[in-house]
Amino acid sequence: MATAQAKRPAARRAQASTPLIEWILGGIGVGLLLACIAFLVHEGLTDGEQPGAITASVVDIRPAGDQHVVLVRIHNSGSQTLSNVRVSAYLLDGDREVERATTMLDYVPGKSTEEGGFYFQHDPRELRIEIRPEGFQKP
Amino acid sequence: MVHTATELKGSMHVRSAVSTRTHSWDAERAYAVCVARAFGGALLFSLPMLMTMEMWELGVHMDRLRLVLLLVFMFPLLVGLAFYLGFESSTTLLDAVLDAFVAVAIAALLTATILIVFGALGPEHTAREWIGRVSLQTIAGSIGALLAQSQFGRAAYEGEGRRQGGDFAEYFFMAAGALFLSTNVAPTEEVELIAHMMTPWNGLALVFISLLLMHAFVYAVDFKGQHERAEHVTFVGEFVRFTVLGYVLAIAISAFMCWCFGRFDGVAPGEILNITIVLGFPAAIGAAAARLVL
Repeated sequence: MATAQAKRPAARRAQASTPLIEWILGGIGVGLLLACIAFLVHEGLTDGEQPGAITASVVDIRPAGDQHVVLVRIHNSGSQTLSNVRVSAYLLDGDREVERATTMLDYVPGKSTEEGGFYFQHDPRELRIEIRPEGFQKP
Repeated sequence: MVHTATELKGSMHVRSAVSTRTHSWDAERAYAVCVARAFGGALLFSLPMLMTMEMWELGVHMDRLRLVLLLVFMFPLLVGLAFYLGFESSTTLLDAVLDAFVAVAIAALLTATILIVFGALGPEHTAREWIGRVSLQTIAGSIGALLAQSQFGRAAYEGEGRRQGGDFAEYFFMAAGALFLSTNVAPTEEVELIAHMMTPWNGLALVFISLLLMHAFVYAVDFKGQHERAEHVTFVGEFVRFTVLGYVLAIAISAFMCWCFGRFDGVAPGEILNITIVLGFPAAIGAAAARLVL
């Protein structure tokens, strides 16, 4: 309590004349809040319900133990967020399906990219890879 | 760490002498300490939500305009808190607005930093993810920052205290407490699960328990900050005026939160009522606790 008494004059003055740091931080706060609101309103009004559209591209193919892993980037070009997105990858020899692998992505937000991978027994570098989104849930 | 009275008196004189010469520097330093404390408060209040997966997801996929509404609703609440808790009776509305913006800045900077450290935000994330996640987390963080700025500082213990705000201030604190605790619980899926498991009798029991606890918290169980009933006011009067109205406020806020988070979308009216009552429980406790603490 006594120590608090000693601090008192300083604390008082801090209130009496607004310190520069307070103005700076306050300015940052105004800027951030208004910018966030503007961005969110813009997003909310312009592209609310463009259906999710998934495209996938192979990033890398690497051996993983006695298997092969195909790393993929999954992009949702729509504005709707998709959850539980099921994506399958097929290894094709001509038209014949050699092997299939499936992965599940928790969330792929609109205009966003997620990464994942598929494991295969066969070497994908010797075959054709086709990646297809199969289904999703609305979050 | 034991100081004698003379020692303290001496140091106070030295401090006053120094601070007259470097007045503004001293004020800046005192304020920097206040800001550091506000960061601490923001962390304390937002940590449970920073570490909740549903909050990151909600920040990205919840309806954008409802998130805006939540932010717009939060701001006057912050201003009101700053106004009523300002430890100088001279705190003007403008000071309070500035304090609220400072709290927003601190909470946003803090939550963004922590989310980056957690790997929940990074260069690979889109603007939608950044802005959505940070703005949602800022709500609880800024309440924490504001309380720490004004309430938990040493100045708050000097007997200067907060202004006497009357009934309106009490409702205000209740709303802030309800908002804070319901923000903590609303994003979890357990709210829906509990609502689903409850029979109408369970729901009714929860309403009574909420009301009873709200009243007991503030008037009966001897917590610090307990309220005394004025002599001319009857028990029923006090119960209706504060506890019942406070509960209505808590229920309204919990319904608003649920709607903002999309918990009501496509849900039958009966279940909506159940969900509201379930979230109304923490909201009611938050409201009662805020009356004690603030």
